[in-house]
Amino acid sequence: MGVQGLDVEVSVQRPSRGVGMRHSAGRLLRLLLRDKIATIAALFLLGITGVAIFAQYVAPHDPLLQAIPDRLQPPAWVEGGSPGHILGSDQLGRDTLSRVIYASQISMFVGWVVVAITLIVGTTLGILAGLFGGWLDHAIMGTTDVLMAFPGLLMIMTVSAVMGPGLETVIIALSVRFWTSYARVTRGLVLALKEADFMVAAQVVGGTRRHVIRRHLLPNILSPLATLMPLEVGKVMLAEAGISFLGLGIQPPVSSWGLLVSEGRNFISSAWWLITFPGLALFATILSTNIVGNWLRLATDPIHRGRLGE
Amino acid sequence: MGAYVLKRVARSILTLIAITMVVFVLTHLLGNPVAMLLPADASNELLNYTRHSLGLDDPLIVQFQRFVVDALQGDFGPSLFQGVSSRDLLVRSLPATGLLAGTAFIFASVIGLTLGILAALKPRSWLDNAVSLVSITGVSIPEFWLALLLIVFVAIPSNFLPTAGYGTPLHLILPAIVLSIRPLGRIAQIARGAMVDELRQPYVVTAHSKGLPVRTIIRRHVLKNAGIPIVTIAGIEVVDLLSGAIIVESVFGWPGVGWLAGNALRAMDFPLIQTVVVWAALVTVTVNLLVDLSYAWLNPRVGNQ
Repeated sequence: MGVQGLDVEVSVQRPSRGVGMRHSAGRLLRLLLRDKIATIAALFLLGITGVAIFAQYVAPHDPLLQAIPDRLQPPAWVEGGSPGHILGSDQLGRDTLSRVIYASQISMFVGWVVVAITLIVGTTLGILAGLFGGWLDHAIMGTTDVLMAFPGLLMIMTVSAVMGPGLETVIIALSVRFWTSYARVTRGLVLALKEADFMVAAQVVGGTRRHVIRRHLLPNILSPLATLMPLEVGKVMLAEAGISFLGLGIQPPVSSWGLLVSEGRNFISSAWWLITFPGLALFATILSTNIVGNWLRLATDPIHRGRLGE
Repeated sequence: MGAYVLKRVARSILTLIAITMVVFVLTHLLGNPVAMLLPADASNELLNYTRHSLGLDDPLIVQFQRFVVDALQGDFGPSLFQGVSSRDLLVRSLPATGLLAGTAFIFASVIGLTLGILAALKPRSWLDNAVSLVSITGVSIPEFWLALLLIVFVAIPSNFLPTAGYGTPLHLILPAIVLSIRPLGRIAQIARGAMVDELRQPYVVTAHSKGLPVRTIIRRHVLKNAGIPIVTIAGIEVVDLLSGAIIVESVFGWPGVGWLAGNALRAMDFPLIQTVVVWAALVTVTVNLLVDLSYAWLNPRVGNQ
């Protein structure tokens, strides 16, 4: 095969962006609609994201508004409940539904921001480790080894406690923990792609390193990394809820679902709704991210595509 | 094989050294532990006195030397609030965590493996779907929430299951169930996947065609080959049980290492924090080492590479 032939290979194998992406998004949507459970989970995520964004229009009350005469009211359908507080009220008469709605903002925000940070940091370091190898590879992978040799929650809690709990600390502590999975996956992808025919060809025909990385490597690793995102968001949200529950995460007056459950804990024998509903919102959201994440992984994996009925 | 073991052990020791460095940076360079320890309106004299009494005003190199000596002994000095050696406190809470985590691990492994294998034998059956549902619920449910729900809706109405505490087998039931739910889900998931992959292999077809009973094929061939991913996940679960134990022990007032760690972190009792973190890292590194060595046993190719 001459140089001319190689050139043709390259243009055929070059992953097209733009049109190609839109096409695959349409295909994914059609596939999704065939899976009832995944569709419900995706709709739920869409809905809860909408609720978080438009909390101030959706929530029936101010989440911090105290009304001592209304305190510890059960949900509306239980004896003693009132339609004014559909999911009941807490020890200060604050509306549970409104608090759950506002807490969704922090829980979802932390989940997505941390995943965005870890995606960028982890991917960059993973590419560096995979492409350049040598001591850089050892240093980066050694760091992930070290970070993964702590029980996860213990490390996140320690970082958080030392830096002083709060929203920024939570984001930093979770990012420190979670970039390692992206770095490892990216490095694996890069190592596999490095030897692929089209990468070698792109170099043989004289593509600069920057060109090869941007046009050939990145497009091919981004989609497997993107499909990891929902699963990672679920893990991050679970960890955030855990440290907030233990008092080392989000601090009042802002709230997350984990913190709401923690606050409701003092009243568990008298007010079951205070722990039940924020926890339910958290569980349903994480369950949905996991369902959508698993589905997305299968749908984008050529080996498994047949199973989803295409 | 011998060279592989030696190399792997050396790497574990290096990792452990690196971890203690990270702990030093975390506790001595990041943030300001004294400010976290004292109330916000503490006077400068009190801040300086506390810093001095904890040795945090010494030159960094002196602090580092002391840190290394402490790390080698696995004890970073007496707890700030209980006045007892941190290592003694840790050792005293080990049996409780061992009992809880051990029970949860056995429960999760036995049930998880059984469910995963059964699901793999009949893919897409109702049993397979039910196992998928159990495993995805298990990995998605927040442990603290499940624990509180069980307390409110099971323990309190039951009148005989305790809501918190330690000492009798009854006290163990709820914490062990909660702690086992996530590993159970993941072990079932991984076991199913590994078995499905392995059952597709040509050697299984060969074994079938020469008339071996299914039971023998699975016991003699498939299980050992599917073992590598399963052992990996089991190793990860052991480490994750420590994370889970922090939450579960806190909810149920179970006097183990997780409870100790949670309290130490909230109170910024940092001799105790350092001790717990370094010991937890030691356990993690040891488990990872054992997992890697068991690969070499399950798949002799690994050791010869």
